[in-house]
Amino acid sequence: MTEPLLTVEGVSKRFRSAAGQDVHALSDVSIDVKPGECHAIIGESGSGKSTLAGLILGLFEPATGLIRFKGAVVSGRRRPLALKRAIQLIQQNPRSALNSRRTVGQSVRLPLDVHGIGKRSLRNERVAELLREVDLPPDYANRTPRALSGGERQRVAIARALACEPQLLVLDEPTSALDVLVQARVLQLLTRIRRERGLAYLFITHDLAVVHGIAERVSVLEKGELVETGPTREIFDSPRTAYTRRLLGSIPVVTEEEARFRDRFRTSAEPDGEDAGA
Amino acid sequence: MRLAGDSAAWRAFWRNPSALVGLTLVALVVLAALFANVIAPYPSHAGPVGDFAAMSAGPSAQYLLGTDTIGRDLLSRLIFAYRLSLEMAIVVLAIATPIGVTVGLLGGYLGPVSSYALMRLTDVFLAIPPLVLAMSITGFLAPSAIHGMMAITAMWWPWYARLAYNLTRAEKQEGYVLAAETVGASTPHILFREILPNCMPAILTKMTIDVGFVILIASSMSFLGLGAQAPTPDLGSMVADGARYMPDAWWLTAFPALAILIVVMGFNLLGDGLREAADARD
Amino acid sequence: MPVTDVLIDGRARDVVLAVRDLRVAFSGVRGPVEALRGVSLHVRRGEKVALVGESGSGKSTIARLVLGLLQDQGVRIAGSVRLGSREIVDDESLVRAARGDRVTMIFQDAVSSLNPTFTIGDQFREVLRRRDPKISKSHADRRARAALADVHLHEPDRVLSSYVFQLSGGMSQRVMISLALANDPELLVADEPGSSLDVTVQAQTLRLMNDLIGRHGTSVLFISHNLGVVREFADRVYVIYRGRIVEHATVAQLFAGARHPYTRALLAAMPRLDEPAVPDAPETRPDFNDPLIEHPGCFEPNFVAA
Repeated sequence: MTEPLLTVEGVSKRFRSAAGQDVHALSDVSIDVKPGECHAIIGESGSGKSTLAGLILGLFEPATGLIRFKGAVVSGRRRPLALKRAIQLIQQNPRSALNSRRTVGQSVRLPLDVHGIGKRSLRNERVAELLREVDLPPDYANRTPRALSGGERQRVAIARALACEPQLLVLDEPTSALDVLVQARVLQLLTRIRRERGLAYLFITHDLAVVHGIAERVSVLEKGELVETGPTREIFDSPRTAYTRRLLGSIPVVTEEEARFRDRFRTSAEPDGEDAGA
Repeated sequence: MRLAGDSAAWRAFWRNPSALVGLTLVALVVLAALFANVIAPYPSHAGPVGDFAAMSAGPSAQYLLGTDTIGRDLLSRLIFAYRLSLEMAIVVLAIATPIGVTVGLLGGYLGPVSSYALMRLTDVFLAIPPLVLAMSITGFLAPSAIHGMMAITAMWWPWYARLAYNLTRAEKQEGYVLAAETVGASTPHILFREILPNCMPAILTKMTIDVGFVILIASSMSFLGLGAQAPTPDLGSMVADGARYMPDAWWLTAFPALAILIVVMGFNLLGDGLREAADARD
Repeated sequence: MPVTDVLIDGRARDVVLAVRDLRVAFSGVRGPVEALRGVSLHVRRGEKVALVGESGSGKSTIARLVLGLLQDQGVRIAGSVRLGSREIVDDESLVRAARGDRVTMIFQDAVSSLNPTFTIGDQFREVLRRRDPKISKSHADRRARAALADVHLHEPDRVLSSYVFQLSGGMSQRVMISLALANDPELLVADEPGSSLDVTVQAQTLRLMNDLIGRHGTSVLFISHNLGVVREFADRVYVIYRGRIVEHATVAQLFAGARHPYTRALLAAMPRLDEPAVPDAPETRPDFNDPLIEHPGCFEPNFVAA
């Protein structure tokens, strides 16, 4: 049994909302990610998934609980540069994630300069290699993000993250803002990269269909609580909680087989009342 | 490397009539200032020279805009006054902008305590009425062009701090800032290499418009006798000197006032044109 | 499905919306950008027709044009768009008269499309006044309450006195739907409805919308990027790629046997719910530009002038 790369132990986080109310973003959540594994976190809005990502990246501290990386406690203290390098983020919105005033090459090179990776004179070559790794032509290094499509921008963001030579990638809805054909391409790329580099992924999304093909384990977050977790196959074969079943039953599908699979989770007596007001 | 956005900005600028008017006026003023020695018909009249035979003469073929009370050519003095005004504006902005922008960047990015401290300091400077501040400074130190510039700089930097603060707060929400933070970039890098470039269009536009307003404030101060002293030709003091001869020797006040109008309007229109071009790019 | 492809007297009794060879170009930085390059489609009475495409395909342009939201913005338009029997392509005022009354639209995100400065009750009154300018406040409120009950919002008075930002995403989407259907329009244009909502809320909302549309007998032009949603709610589908329709089929025909390379790529690219697999499809290929494929029984009606 391999030691987990990342463990989140009993973590809670509260925020003060704009209206002055206490919002429990996360309550007593524990998950872990093993080296080289893809662990998917399924959550809709208000589930706390973004808070979880923020805690893992060290953007803020948990109110209770711990976060460990390779056994050492990393929450509650400043992160050394080497640790920042090991955990990287791919964001949902590729448009915002790249600085429109910096060229692609400058953005991808940033981690190399920050962490002193390789000899300075060779860093531009490294950038070209990274661009090739994400299936972009090396001469894209001179372009600015404005000239790129959404899918291309997301691939630049991936190249930038890979420049750090991380061990864990936190992917926060990495394909949700992309068109379907582009999404397929990016998922293929992410799968290949994980295999080639032996990376671990924490893949956060609301789309269960996407995770079926890429994750080994799935955990479901509902309103800040971890309601279900287990190997992917189990979650899809026999989901235990009503929430997971409702998630599975809501997904729009395109084939008869999938419709049959999904309709098992659709109960005729759908609770149809209005949602709780904002 | 030219991008689609940049050419949209250029086109928006060249198609904008008021921007072109502004550019023309600014170009005239700048050329006059740069080549004052060559353009002015009587360059020596900018200094301590007098020709009592030609005192207070109206506009004529020999003195295109007339002469002042000691016979100096008004046109030449105005051209040199433009030079002085532009020099002042450049110096003031060259000092006030970096100070203000740095304070604003830090205030917008750092945590709540530092942010509060910096922005309240800014507010203190903003709260003091500009001319009162100018008068105190030049009252304390003798009135001169240099002390006038110091006064204006002290009252100018907070506006850039406010601008940079607001821009930084907005940019801080963007994904690229989060990306730079997670990659591990240092705070100076994030402020000056990531956020600042995104603030530059707004800052440059403001600087352009501000040249006109710095000149206006400087002229107001020297109108009150707090700026450049005789015999240095200065737009504001020329207006003041000529005021008591109205309406007889009207040219003594009218032309310097017109000169102020031209330079303020020119930079204003140019700045607006730049702002619209920057908007067109996005 | 009744086939009426030749209509006498130019009066389209059966066809609510008919678009013929529509071309739209916007003035871009480097010259005109063609958003639509000869699009033809139609919606019959009581039908739910879907227009499916990715971003940049031109699908939203069509929606806006049908609602007359495009005509005066410096765009070049050619072709024919008939709402009922009226040609609206170059006269936006005709659509304006019908807008909110005989043709309505719902958008992706209710919170940003409803007016934040008016209460829901105010907005109902405004909508109902388009049909009946003299409607009294109490009558309008009564009808508003009934409309809200139709979308299963059970505290109508609270909702009517709320502002849109006080409601949850799902609730405001339902309000938007009931506003759109309040005057019993002939045609509803739905632009990616619910796509900003969570998937559980979206499913619920779409089901509700479907139910309501069925009861009113409204015709729908449903614009989406999501083929799964289309499969559940549409009768007929047009697939649009880069400003051209590439495939036209009934829902049954399309999902049993799509023929155009682009449609097939879209279907292959969707991650499967029932099997672990990473979807595989090219991002673009030359044969995506192949000509239109119309499935049996799917063709555009012809109009015969009176």
